[in-house]
Amino acid sequence: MSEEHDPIIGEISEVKMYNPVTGEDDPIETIDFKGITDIFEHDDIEERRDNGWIVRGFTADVDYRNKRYEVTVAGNQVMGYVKVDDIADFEEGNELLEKMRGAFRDHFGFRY
Amino acid sequence: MPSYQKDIRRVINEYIRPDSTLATMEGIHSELTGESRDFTRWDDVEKTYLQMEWDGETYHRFLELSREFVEGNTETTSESYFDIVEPEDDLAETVINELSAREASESEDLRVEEGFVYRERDDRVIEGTYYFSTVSIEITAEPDIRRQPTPKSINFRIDPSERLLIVETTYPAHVQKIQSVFNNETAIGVTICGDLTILPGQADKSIISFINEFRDEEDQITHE
Repeated sequence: MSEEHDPIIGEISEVKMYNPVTGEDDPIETIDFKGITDIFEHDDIEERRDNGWIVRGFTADVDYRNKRYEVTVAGNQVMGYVKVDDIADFEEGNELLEKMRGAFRDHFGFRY
Repeated sequence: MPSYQKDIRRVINEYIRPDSTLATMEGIHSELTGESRDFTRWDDVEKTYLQMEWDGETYHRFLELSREFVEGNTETTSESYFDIVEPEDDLAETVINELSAREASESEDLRVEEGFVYRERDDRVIEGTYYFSTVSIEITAEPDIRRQPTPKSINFRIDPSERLLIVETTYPAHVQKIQSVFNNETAIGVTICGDLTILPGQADKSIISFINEFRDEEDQITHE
């Protein structure tokens, strides 16, 4: 079991939102997320979702092997991508990227 | 020791803060003091640091760590994903044929490398680089026109068993370039993997299930 090395997603620092009707694309970046585990309970996000916006990506703190990274996962009409910031150790950063890639395909890789 | 305090405040606000997240500051703090702290605002950081006891040694250590964390030592890596939709059969073979048919060579007019370089790894993943150039025009003193090429390259990997193209950059111009080269110049067809704007009804669910995979039970997002 490799359970001891599972990444943990912590606080979310930015949510990328998109309005499918108007084509507007706008991130919500705020310190207000601090302490809110469920971003969907955040007022700004709730309000936008009521108005037809969707969430198309996020940036969050991710703890992995006792180090903290900043990970962005998002997808739009230009690309679907994963970005890992704050890599101090190349091997470990790469491992984390691979885990995020697997999850990206599992959760974002729907066929239509 | 007012002299330390003034400089420390300056380092925090003018050196660390503009280029970093609070996570970076938490990293500096844990290296410096051996204790892990969860800073929620930069004001907290400043207050904590002004109240700490400083001497020449800890002050210099703080400066070293700040430079280490802000200027280097950490890197960013990013990649973008495409599903391979064509061909349906014999993908690995087709990829090798298509890439080798367009192997990098010097273009006639501008004498810059253009095309693919690749190798097949033991695990059958194909690692490649696409070389191309952008061209700008200069008017010389004669006056005459001179075309000035700037060589560029894009690294990618193709995993035939997963039918996945991994582009090793998220720079939009390069991502779009490699996508159009595959789609317009080869028999390999690719589509964006993970475009959440295509199926708006599905997007929030994708985000929630992604986050929940990496969270303990008590921190799960239960919305909807």
